[in-house]
Amino acid sequence: MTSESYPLLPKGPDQFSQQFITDNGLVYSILVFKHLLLESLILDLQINFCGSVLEFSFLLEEDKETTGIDNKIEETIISVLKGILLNQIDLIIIGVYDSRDERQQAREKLFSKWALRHQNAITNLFFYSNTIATTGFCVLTTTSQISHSQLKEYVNQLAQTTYSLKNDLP
Amino acid sequence: MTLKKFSDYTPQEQKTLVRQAQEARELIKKTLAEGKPLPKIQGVTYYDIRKLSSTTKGS
Repeated sequence: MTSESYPLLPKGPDQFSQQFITDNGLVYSILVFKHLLLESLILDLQINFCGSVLEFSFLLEEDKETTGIDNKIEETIISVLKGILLNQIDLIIIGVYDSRDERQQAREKLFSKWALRHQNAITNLFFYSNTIATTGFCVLTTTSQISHSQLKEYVNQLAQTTYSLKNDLP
Repeated sequence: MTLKKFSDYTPQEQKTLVRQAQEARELIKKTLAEGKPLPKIQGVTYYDIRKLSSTTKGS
């Protein structure tokens, strides 16, 4: 499937996030960031990984709802991920399925469909997803520094740890 | 908090790490949804997508 994507706006409200506006006037933001949990958990795998683990997030502006199917949203988000993965070979991208409205499993299903549909367009792409109750993560990477089984273990550990500890926080 | 293996943190520190990641994620999403500049959060580093997409291969 090939479809047009939306142009990214030259500047967001800061120097890091990117925005695009759909034909229906909806504004989406895309962001990549790093935090200690992602990094410390990968050290537990006992491997010699010298790349980076970053979290990828995209979301619709506040109080807005999507209206019908818009393939250009998929194309835009996947093209951003493709651009990153093709240029940063030892990068692991972690996606988190937003659960604030309890639609995390629908998001997992949709994003998995997107990733698998575009798998051939990104050489050596590995995609894996795991949702435990309200906690869902996925991984996208082209690195060969970590085996697929280790990446699955990492995502499973991330989901399990987050799920169990966030329900047991003081 | 210095970076080390997750299993080397105490159970309380592990909870703190999970809570910080969760809070950071929620604050970032809220800020972005409101169209405001990203907040400074301890332990969080933002990346410029344009630079990640245009750098020569390798990180």
